[in-house]
Amino acid sequence: MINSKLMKKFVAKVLSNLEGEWVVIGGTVLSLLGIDERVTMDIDMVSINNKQRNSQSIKLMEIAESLGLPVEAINQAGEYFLSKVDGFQDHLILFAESKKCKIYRPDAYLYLKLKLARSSETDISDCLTFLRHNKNEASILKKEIHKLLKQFMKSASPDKQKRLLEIDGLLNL
Amino acid sequence: MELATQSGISLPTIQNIESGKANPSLEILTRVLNVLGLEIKFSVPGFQVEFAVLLGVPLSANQLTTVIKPSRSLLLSEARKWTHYFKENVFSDREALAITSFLCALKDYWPSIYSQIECPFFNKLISISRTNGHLIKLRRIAIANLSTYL
Repeated sequence: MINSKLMKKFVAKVLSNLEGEWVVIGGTVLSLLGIDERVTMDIDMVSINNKQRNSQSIKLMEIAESLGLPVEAINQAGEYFLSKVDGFQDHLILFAESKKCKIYRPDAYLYLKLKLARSSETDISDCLTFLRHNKNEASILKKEIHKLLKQFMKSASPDKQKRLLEIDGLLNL
Repeated sequence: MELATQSGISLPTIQNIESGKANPSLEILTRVLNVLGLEIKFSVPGFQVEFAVLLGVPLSANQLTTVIKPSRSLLLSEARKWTHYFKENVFSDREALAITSFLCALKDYWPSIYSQIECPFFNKLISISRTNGHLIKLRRIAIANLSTYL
């Protein structure tokens, strides 16, 4: 199981062994930020602007294995969803870097944009946790996040709408 | 007439049962059937892969013939049956892994719905399977499937 302690080790290994630019997304971002309200089973880490993507991805799995995680814990499907967000690069925040490698995390807007497409109970609770721990960011991006919520509300089922309102409520506090 | 005499049930009642007018109790029905050398048996229906696939369990099935839509209530009623199937060893290894990954997805992403299944056996099953790489992969598929209707 992945928690903040393990993520620290993972990041250190990535910085010293990998090249290129990487983005951590999904529930893993909370562990990356040192928040252990829940543990996750996978590390959502995707490559951007990386010409040696395949060999680097294998190295990434080797890092997971060296930390006692199954290689399947590395989830790169998020790359698809990230690529669908126009201008996602503008919503990345540098988290750590070495000479050859940079690790980014999404800002509050991008984090929510990626999570709200599914809006499960845990996705919403992850969003709330993220916003509570990044109050400044949430406050700066409040307008954009409100727009995003409105957009997702339109097509959401009543259950999902209820959950989305929780985020709206937090932003209005 | 003979059936009425042997079962001890009045002829009009027998006639009403035959014509579909009566709604006999289990006791009456058993008495009638005993005379005919028949008995009533209750059994849990076998595992319905089709329903499981419909609900998003990462298994493959032949072309789905059902017109039922996946829903929270169908999920809960099917999941409760799975407890029994696990205990009776009805599942193949592949099915057991797929169902466990599905329950794991439900527990992790829709905990309030999972809690309505009320099955300590599932909790145990999930906790011992969590580090299985195949389960992690199947769980991702299950999460995507579940999110289409929950």
